[in-house]
Amino acid sequence: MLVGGCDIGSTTGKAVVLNEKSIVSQYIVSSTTRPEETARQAMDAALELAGIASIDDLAYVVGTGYGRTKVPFANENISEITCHGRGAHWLDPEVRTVVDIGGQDCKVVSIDSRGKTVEFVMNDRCAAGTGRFFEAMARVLDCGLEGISSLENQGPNPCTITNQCSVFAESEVVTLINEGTELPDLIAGINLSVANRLFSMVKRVGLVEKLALTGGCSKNQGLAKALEKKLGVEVTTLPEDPQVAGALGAALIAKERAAA
Amino acid sequence: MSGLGEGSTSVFDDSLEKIAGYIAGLCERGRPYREYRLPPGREDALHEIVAKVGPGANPGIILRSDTFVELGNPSAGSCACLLWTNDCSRVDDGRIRVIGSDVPESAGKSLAFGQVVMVAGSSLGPEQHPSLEQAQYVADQVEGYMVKTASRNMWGRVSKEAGAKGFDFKTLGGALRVLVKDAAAEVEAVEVLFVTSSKEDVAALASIAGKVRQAAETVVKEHWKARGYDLDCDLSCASCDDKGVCDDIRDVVATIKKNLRRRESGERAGNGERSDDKSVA
Amino acid sequence: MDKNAIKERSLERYKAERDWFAFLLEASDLMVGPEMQLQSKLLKILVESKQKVVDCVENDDPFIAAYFCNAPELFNAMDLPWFMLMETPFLGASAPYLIDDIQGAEEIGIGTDLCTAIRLPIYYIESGLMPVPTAVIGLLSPCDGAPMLHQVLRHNKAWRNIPIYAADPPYSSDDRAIKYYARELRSMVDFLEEHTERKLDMDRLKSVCEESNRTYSLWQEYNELRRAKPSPHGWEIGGPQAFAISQCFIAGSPKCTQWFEQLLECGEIRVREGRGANDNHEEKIRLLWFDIMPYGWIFEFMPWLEEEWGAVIVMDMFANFPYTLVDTSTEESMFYSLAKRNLIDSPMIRQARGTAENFSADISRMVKDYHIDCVIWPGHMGHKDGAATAGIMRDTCRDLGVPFLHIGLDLFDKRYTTVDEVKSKVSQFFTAMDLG
Repeated sequence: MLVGGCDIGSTTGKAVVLNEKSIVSQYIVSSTTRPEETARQAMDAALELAGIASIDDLAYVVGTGYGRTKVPFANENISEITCHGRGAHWLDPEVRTVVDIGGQDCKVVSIDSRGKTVEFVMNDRCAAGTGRFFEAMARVLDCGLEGISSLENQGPNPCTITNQCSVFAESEVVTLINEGTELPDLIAGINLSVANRLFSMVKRVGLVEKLALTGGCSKNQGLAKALEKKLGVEVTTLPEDPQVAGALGAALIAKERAAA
Repeated sequence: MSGLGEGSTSVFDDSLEKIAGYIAGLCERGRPYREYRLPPGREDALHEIVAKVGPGANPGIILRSDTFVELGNPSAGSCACLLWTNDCSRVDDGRIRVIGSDVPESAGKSLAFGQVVMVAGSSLGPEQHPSLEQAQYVADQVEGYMVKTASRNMWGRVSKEAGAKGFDFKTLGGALRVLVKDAAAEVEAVEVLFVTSSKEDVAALASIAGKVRQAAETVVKEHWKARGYDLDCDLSCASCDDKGVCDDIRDVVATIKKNLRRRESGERAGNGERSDDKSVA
Repeated sequence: MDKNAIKERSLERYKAERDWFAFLLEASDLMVGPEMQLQSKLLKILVESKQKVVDCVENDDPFIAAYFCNAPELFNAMDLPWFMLMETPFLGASAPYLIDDIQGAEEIGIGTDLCTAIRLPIYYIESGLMPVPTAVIGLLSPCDGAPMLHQVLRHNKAWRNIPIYAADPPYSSDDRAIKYYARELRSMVDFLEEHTERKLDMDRLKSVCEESNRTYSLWQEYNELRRAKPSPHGWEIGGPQAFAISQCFIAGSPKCTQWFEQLLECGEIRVREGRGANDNHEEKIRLLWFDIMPYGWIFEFMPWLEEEWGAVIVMDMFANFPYTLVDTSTEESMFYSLAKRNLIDSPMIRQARGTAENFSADISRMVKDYHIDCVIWPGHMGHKDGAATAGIMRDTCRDLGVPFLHIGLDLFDKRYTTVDEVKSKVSQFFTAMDLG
């Protein structure tokens, strides 16, 4: 039996095809302006990779994410909070705190031993702590997202960025550049400011180890290190691309529905 | 954490003594207790009582017209407390004592009601206290019995159906014992006292219950402190983390008062209103 | 402005409020059903109470500004009309002038970090839009904002010479504390006798307290009905109305008791018939709303909860723990009981005055007794007193295995967190927690 999960975010669309035991295929596409189109592109690519001819060959499909209600082939849509928790837990059953950093929002989800959500907190009101913030900073620093992410680029003396708002933070970074702050310290400072933001969200939910990052920004090694230092715990590395955790969680729920 | 200090058994031991003294005093004044005994095992004990016990055992609510006996209406007299100790010799597991009328002989009445649940467990500590405290409020867990959600009172009613089945204090005490043991694995012994003899007798018990409540507050604070929350303020500026804030506020208040005096004297001198003063009188 | 013009202006907002509720009363009179009759009666009482204050202003009769936790039975016993300084936000009911007034408060420079329930009365006072009473009974708990309001009175030209008394609430809740507060209430009576020329007759007080006891017994009885599955009533009828009528408008009066008798009757009928709060929507989620209702936008949010999610507010903070019955055997016992009731049982004061354990104890008890599926702490922006305890509430709910949502909103100003945002957060919560 094959099932599918499709996570439509503001920046990327993700699809996962699952069989009884493992991930058959996964694919990530850049989001278009139309969530239905993004969903189709992501799922078609995942199906092709899996060697599956048609979406009808999937017993059940669950949509999730920002555009979940617009996934045309989904049998059901489920909150991304639930899906990220389930996906992260499947990837590592010892995970209990999931920090999802997406393109436009970030959330912290506390899960139990079955991967079920116990509590969560979201920032969906502003760009602070999201992919948008990193994109803005990458533009200002002219270093690309990879430049901000790479561990090698993190300076030993992260500068302090006081503004939480990404608009004002951008101005603040420009000022720091003009004052001669070294690029590695700026990069480290940017990651630290996001880590600070996430820290307060984690504290609000209550940190229980292990902790894992999901979402596109989870690949930012600099951020992971800054968060580890801030929280005093190791950030677990998930065995699959953490960006597909939401789609994976959706697929897992699809599997349960299909079996019922 | 076991107990509240080296060598101590619990903050409630003194109250346990007082309750023993209270019972002895009533006996001397011609109000002896009757006693029921329940077997040690959970299932055996449940066999001996006439009500189901556990979540959902009393699925509906008991309306006033369905009431067989009312217990602990505040106007009749009501009090309750739960106390625990690490010294298991102080609590006689399975003993239920009743001073005054029992339920079957009180059809249609509104009885004064005092309930004391005494618990012992060698490794009981503050972290079990909240669960134990809540266990005495049975909610829907005793068939045919309901306790009102009232602050500081134990105000309950037995249904007519339960009355017809012979619901008595052995049943209620047995049920409480099961529920308290279910609430914390560390519980080794539970003993229950019911008092329905008179409003005055319940009032006397209430003063002991008041002391128990005070001691319980200490336990609760310690429980939360261990979890990282400080519920209390020791009212000492010297040890307060927020002293700096208070010091700043004093300066702010002084400035405000100075400005107010200046404004008042300016108004008295007829210098006119402030341009942003929206007062209309 | 001359004296009459000032008086008229001071009644402007108050009359507008009276008229708004008179309009709602007319509308409710057209609706059928016992619950609507209850709403009608409540609205009538509300309009009458407001008219009483209007009459006092226009006729220069004594009346006071006070609070629900100042033992209002004493005011009734002294036949002293009174209104609550924070009445407008509490009565909000999506009133048409509310947002304009909140905006007005900002425009005259009142800090937006101050609780809206405090900001609005400050605005009315500073703008001359509040009736100036003969005397003020102040409030010093549970939050820092409340004393702030009274500081404003001291600075305001129209109010600074109005005598004000504030009972000093002790930090603890033991016998000594209750006796202390009882003495404070006696001093309050002395103050009122001095400034309003009304006298407290003990026989009258006894009669009022006995009536109040009857009321609370009925309220207690009614509350038990809400344990039923489904709950016979939801947000529309029950707690907030019971609180308003028994504490804010006609404490200790036969009319109050009659209202509760009718409430209880309605509830019992529904329980016997197995009918839920909303005849058109099944109860799927039993919700504990642990605060005041969002009075500023209640009609835009509460019906949606039931209609969209089948989420019924089975219990809320202000509906819970009807108060200690007053021992009317002696004068001393009456003051003691009133002190106990107002110091320990008054909602919000109960939780936020002194130490914080009631945030946990009350949630634990209500979750268990009322078979609660989830707890919502709205996280009102003004609740600095409560914000510090969010962690305690969260941990308590975790211990109970019950989902807990902390939203972050303004109970009176829907611009702070829009209604759509709140709905989105609540929907996310219900979905994530597999509720409904």
